[in-house]
Amino acid sequence: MTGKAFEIVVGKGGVGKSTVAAALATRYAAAGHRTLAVELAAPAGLAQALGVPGVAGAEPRSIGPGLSYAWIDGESALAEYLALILPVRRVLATVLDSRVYRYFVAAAPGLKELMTVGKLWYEHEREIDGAKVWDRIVIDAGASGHSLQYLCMPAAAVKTFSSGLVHRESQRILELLRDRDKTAVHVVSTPESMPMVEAAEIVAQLRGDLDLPVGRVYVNRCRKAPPDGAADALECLADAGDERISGVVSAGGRELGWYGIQERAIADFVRGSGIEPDRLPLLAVEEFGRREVVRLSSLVTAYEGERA
Amino acid sequence: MSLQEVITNHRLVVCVGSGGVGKTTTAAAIAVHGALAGRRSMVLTIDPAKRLAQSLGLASLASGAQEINTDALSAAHSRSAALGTLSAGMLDQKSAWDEFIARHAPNDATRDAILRNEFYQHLSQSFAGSAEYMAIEELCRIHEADRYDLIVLDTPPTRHALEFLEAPRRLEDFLDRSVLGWFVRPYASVGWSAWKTASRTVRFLFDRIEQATGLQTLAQISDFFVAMEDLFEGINERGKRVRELLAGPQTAFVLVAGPDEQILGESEDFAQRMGELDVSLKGVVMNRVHPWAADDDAADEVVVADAVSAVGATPQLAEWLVTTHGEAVCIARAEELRRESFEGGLPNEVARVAIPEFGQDVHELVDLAKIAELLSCG
Repeated sequence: MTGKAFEIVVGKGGVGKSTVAAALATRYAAAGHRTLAVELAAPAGLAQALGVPGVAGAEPRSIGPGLSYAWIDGESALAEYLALILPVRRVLATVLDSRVYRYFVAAAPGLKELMTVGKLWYEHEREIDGAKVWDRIVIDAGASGHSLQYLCMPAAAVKTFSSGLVHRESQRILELLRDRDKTAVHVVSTPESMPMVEAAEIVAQLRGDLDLPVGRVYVNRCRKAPPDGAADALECLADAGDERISGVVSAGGRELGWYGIQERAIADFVRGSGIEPDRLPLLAVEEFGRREVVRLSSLVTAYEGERA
Repeated sequence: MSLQEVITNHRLVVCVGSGGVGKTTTAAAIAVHGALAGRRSMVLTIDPAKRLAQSLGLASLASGAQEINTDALSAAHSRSAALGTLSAGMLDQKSAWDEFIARHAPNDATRDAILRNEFYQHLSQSFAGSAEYMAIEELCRIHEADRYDLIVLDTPPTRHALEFLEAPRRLEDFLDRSVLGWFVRPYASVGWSAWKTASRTVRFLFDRIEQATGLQTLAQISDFFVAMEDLFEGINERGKRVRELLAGPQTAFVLVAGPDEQILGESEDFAQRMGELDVSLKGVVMNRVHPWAADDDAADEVVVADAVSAVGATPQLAEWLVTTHGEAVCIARAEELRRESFEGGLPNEVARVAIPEFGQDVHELVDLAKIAELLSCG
């Protein structure tokens, strides 16, 4: 078996979380796990990375062998949740239509986030004929500021609601999130100083206040090592001043600079966190699409293999 | 209007955009731009990366603004105007909330009752939207103190930049007086008789909420709203003034974007919907652009190989150079197409500036001055 039952992908905005989440989901599905790939709030990057056509409907839908996609928003998750605890349809309709309810949903801060995580938990627990519906749930949790807000909600709710149903359910969600055998929170970054510093901060938060299991750290868009002696050779080429290759030489110089930044940033991260991250290569393509995700999914597997 | 004019003609600049586009850096550079033009400038950031915070002198700062030593800027500053001042502040959500309550509370007893309330503590710290609300509130407060000619706000990271504009209203709705009746009457001042007269739905819902959350929680929420009763008027008025200021002629919204596919998609969505929220987009800063090599032809492998062997380097180096260059051209071309299509969709009057990828992180004041210089080029 590869991976965990409940995998959450977080990271600073723009580092390629959706791509990594899509690659992981693709990998698990290819390994024969019934996999659900989920993104929060609205269909966005993950739908794109998985090549999901159209955006209508939040229900899980099959998008390939063993692979399904869903997006979860707090408001419909709450309605669905109420349907579970208020089985009488007429009463439910009255509640959903009432002004108090609308107010409560629109205004109560944090409620939607809590319900979103609750719905994820429900999908994880869901069984048909005594068997779990999903072997793997991979969640693209959005930009770090936002996704950590989702992840801290169950703990906040356990504290806020000192007893009752919400307290009990939040407690169960929290137990799943903190279960090291079932859950992993992966952190995605890019190989530059600030994103790596932020990745280290996310790891520290996960290990600290949030107390959630840290999975892998994926460094996306890594550059290959330049050949030995590249710096000296580039200097000589620049001195030679051949106009025809000036663009090539300056491209080489920039690449060398970025590679240096990458290695320093990763080394700092390893020193600070004690985690050796998995590297994913920079793919130079005009349009990043499903093909690139599949390519990355095989590389993600290779990295996992290396470790074991 | 050029971006330089946008900065010069406004007192408040709000930087919005998706996460990871360099919003904090851009906000800091805009403030530096103001200082270089002789203005008393201030940047209010939410959660700056450590190194940037250090360069802004924020490393040890808990809350409040701090003036930054601008000696490092003197070299970059070659104009006739005197160098202004540069201050930076970091939003501490918790203390900003506490001070906000303290300012609006009619007396110490009310203030303390709210600050001690557990429901309030969660509301001010862990609930979504409260950081955004306080960021805007702080922006207005600093503006009213009238100590700066230019205040730049770096907005909190949100998945969709629009949430920044929507979150405050969400919270304001939550702190609405009319809600008082729902929570307070059944549980507190008026007592249970009023509860009996409440509509069946409300009664039913509260029964359910009570079952679900435990009586204690509702009592806390109820206490909170009772204590807040005297504050609602002040807060509502405040909210009105804050919205007026944001929509007013002194305020400019600048969208920070990047050439990444997904970010451009989000930015497009953002620019489109901004108008619906009564704020006008004045400028777009496109960060981390790779402008070079876009019009370079593919490298001539033979020429490169010859040149490389002429300086005594290995064929592997030649191969690496050709590949690296090819990838750079590919990335630059794709970017150019995406940018053209994005910028084509912007209203004509929106100022735009492209800032190239530096190949190094920005964490010195002089680096910010360099970006400030580039901002003037738009």
